[in-house]
Amino acid sequence: MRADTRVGPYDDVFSNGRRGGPTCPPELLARIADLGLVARIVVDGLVSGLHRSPFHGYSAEFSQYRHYRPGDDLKYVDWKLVARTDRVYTKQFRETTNMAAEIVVDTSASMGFPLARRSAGAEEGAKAGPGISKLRYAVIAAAALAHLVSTQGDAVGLTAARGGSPLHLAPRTGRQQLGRVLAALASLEAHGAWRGVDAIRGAAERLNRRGLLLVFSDFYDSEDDVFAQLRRAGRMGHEVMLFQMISRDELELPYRQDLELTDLETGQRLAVNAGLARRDYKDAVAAFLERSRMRAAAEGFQYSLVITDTPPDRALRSFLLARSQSKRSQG
Amino acid sequence: MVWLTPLALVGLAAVAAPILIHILVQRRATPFPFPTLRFLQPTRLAAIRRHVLEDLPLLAVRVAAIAAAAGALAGPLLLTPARRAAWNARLARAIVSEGAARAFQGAEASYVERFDTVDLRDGIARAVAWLDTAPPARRELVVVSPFALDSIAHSDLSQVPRDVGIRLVRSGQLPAHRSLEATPVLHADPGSPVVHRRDRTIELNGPATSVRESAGSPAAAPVEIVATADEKRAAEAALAAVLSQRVFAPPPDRQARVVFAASSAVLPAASRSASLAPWIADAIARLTIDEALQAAGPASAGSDVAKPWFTASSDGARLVVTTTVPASARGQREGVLAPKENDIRTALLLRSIVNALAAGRTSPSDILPIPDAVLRTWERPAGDVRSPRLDTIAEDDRRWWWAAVLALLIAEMLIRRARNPQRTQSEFSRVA
Repeated sequence: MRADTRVGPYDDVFSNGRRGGPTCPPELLARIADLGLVARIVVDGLVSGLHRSPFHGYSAEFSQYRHYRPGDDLKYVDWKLVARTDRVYTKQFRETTNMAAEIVVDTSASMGFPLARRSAGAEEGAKAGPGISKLRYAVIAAAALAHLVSTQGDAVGLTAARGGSPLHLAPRTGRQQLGRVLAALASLEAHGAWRGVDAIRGAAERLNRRGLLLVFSDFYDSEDDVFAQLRRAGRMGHEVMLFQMISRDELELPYRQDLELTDLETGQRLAVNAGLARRDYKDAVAAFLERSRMRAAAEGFQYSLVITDTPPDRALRSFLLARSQSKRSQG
Repeated sequence: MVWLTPLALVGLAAVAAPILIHILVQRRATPFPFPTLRFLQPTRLAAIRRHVLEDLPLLAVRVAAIAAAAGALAGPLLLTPARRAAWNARLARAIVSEGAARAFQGAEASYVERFDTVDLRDGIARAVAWLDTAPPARRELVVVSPFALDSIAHSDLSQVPRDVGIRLVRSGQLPAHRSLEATPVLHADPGSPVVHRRDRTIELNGPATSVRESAGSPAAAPVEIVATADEKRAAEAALAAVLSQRVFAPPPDRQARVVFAASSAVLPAASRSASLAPWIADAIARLTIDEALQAAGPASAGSDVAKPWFTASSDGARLVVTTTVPASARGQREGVLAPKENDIRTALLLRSIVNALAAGRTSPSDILPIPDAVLRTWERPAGDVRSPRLDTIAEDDRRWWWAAVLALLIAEMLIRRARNPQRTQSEFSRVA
């Protein structure tokens, strides 16, 4: 635990003077090589409209007075001081935190969809270009949250796989740790299968005490085992947040002609007529997503379905607003 | 719409090619990496292909392009009102000039061809043949001639197509002498008015048919025919046949009467005089040596009709020419004959009589022209173009059809590009 110099209550982070600024399309963000810059862009768009930090530490100690400025929350006005001096001051706090967040990113081959270059015939019927991959979207969202958490003075870590080898960054605070996390995120590639059970177990165990577990995955692999492991993490006292990544093409199967589909992870092939298979496919996908949502709700996890054609800041803001309201209702 | 080269339309059969290709070509399913197959069931692709024509828009464009190309090769020609109006605004004129007759001033024509001839019938035939091959336009036949009697008849113009206008322009001088010998075989032309003298029409009327001038006295007629009503038809046919030939008008003081045998009983007894005027003697002499008449009815030495009767009969029916001159008609020569319907001898006798009466008359004024009133009835305006001969049309709408082919090919290319923007097998690319 370390005391951060960031003043509270997170005014500088969440009150940057903009409200609902323009969002940045995911395709544009994907072209920016500097993941740190991408994270800041997303966070800038993300925090506008939020008034409170979604991530509360455990304490906040008084730091100083400041002249009241329009827009300041009245609950931080020191009314006794007003009575004594006829001047309005608001209290500012120095927040201390011991929260640790562990980001888990699924780097399986299925997260590489949509591929940057789609096969020729499959372009027919697709409404737009391939868009960015689920992994790239997850990396951007994870970077934004890491930036947000780290900027608040909380610890952030990463669990993923790179080239088939596990990649672990234990939760730490500080700018250097954020840089390491962002560099690791930028180096991720979709490859092979995801050993989700091991990844979640390791991440949960690396959080020394109650922490925040952020999981980005399509949850195609070992669905039951992965949720069993997530349930275990929840029982360990961690707060679990699930980001189920899915692309628009996966949702709607917008192709028309005969396709020989190849499973990105198993290499299995299947010949289908997309036009004829679409209805059953969409029903099956909807059932799968609903099952995931219900499982998350049953375990008390915060669940968010992220479609990769949604601007990341908008997706995260919706998620964080929901989280803030949930916290408020609990607290 | 007409096709200038309709044989090329067999190329339409080529539209079957893309249809067969679309049906028969087994399109391989496109390889496509996908995150997971857990939500998909296999489909019987071959069964689908047999029943579904894929890419219907693309197939339609290809079929349309081939059909348009076949149509373009067939030489399409759309018969629009504007095009018909343009054709009708043009005029193809064939001018047939007889001899030196060339003076013709007419409206400007788009296509003009001249045919100089000494025989109008031949010239008209050549002009009609040229008009038949002229480019699409209203067609007009102009005949420039002095129009001497027998130079042209209504039947000669009946061979001209009905949409070809006919204009008859009188020009030049009548020939100085007969250019056409009367043939032994005479043909009646009931459709033509019988013309004997310039500007006068001979009428056949009365119970006893006689030839009279329309405005003159009966005595002024050069030939008077006396016949019963039963003989009227034969008499008319014979006279019409004679007068349809080019004949010379006899002098006004030379007259003849032809009495048909059945009618001779009603005639007053003719005084037979041996005194003959010189011209009568000459006429009789000519008749007796008329080879055509002799050939039709050789003289019978044993005839019961003595001279000065001239008998020309071989079948018992009398064919007699007499020099009897009734007192009431001095200078008149009378012939008695027993006509048969369509008997060539009747016509021969009439012609011979007329020739004998007009012997020695060879002045140009004796060549009779066809009256203007008759010519006007033969004329008609040029009709509109209805269905021109395909081989005479130089224009067509091929360019528009080829433009359509080009547009369809571009559309086909755009559709293909839209469907398959990048045919690459390298599907797995790095996550950006």
